[in-house]
Amino acid sequence: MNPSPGNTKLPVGWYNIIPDLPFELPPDVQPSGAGPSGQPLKLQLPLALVRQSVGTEHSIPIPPKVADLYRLWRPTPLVRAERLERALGTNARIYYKYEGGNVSGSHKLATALAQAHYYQAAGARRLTTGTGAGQWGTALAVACQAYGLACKVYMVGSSFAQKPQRQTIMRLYGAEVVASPSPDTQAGARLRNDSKIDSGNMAFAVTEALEDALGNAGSSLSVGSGEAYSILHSTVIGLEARDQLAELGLAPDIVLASLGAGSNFGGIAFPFMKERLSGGRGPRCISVESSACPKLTQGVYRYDRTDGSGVTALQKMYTLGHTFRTPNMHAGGLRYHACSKIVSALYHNGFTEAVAYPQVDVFQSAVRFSQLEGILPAPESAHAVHGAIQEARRAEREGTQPVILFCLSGHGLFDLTSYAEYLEGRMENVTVGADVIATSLQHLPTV
Amino acid sequence: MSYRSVVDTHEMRHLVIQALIEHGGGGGEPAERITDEMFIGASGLGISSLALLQVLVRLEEQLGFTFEDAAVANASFATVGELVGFVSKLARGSGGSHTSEGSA
Repeated sequence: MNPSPGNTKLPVGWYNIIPDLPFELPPDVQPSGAGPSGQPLKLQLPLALVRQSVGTEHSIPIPPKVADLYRLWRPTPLVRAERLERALGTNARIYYKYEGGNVSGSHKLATALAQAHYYQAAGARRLTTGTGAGQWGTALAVACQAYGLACKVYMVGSSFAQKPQRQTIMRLYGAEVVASPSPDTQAGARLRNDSKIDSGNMAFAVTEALEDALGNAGSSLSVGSGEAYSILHSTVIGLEARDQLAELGLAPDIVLASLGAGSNFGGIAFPFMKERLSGGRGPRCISVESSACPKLTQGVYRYDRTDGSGVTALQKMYTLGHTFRTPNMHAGGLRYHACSKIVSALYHNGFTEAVAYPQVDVFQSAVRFSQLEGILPAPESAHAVHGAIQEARRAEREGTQPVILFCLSGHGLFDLTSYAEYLEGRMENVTVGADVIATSLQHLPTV
Repeated sequence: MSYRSVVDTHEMRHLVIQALIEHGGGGGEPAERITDEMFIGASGLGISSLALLQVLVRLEEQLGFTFEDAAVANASFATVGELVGFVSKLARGSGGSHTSEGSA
């Protein structure tokens, strides 16, 4: 390990990319026929978060209490992967921003604390959420405990079974955790009776969490990935990395992060995109997705549902279709069928790139990275590791010497079942056929 | 000049309806055909709960007024009239604070 110099301070504000976008974001659209006649609209989201999602300020101040909590583990280390560089024989300089050094083990705590702050200020007493691999659920449990809020987490059933330790740590912080589909909601009960439904869908978990929040006074749904405010809070990662590299007299040529719905990618990449958005040069920003859920590389840019409820607003985004069933694979945080409308629009307008890799290749790179650099990546983060290695190899072929920055968004110490499967040769690559995607896309809503 | 001196109930209703239209409400319906009895949501103007929050933020900008989150949290509205009444009540002095000169 070679941590960066410790002079970098916590940023005073989050970076809001919206005023810098050289295009209009497509408006959200209410699905036709959603909700019974005359049903009141219940305002679930704190206005503070809405203001942040439509604001015109480039920097949104980090509230003092959130900053105090951030300082428990931030600024996070920026590390040069020198041993990896030597093993690859590359002239590229590879840096990673390590976000696993907090109790949740991932970058998700940056927005979880901010959201808990604003929900508490708005009078919420309890937050509900859906979680895939468990990083988000853990982060929200920790944040709710810090702000004195109750918390209920609907965890994708397959992850619930694979990762009992994730359940334990969420419960340590006072959260109630159930496997989704659960018998606790009408949506869950209906899904459990459907023989065609497997247990690996994030949209189901969010649908249950929404039903729970709407049905219980003082409860609100909190989600932690693709929303503009989630990405905004995560930009503390990229802002710190920018300052840390600047201390070294460097700026990245390539920025990579894995892509679930967008908070990890946007969190590290957005602060580096301002120059390119204004017509100048900037680093190539590459999102790395799983070949089992290739929304950017094989999806379409269309209006779709963000969850399975059928009542929330449709958003224009890259999607594989809300009925897409991600095959079983080991990066639960990358299972979501679509991605953030901001990340989607940036990709659609040519400001970012995307690649997809199969999981055996990804785990091979993760194990190599771990043995050389001393940190075991989460399966999601391992996609960025693999992407960085591919870019270093490309640089060798092209005779260039780029500065590569990637986000090591979490550790994999809760993912040892997956690593065991890899070591024992039982892991297989998972890809999705064009016919499967085409079938799913037939169910996109009409706008 | 505070918002109170320039925005009466009639004008507040006009601002609310304009903001609803700006955020996709009514599907092209002209403002004069939007009544207090119309539903805001899917079976009426077609506004989502998120869009409704964005309407409130737009009204904040126009009025130079910040609604308190605690006053808005978990509120619910079915009709245009209910929304106009809610916003008027907040702006009259409970549930918000004056921030700067608005654009109303």
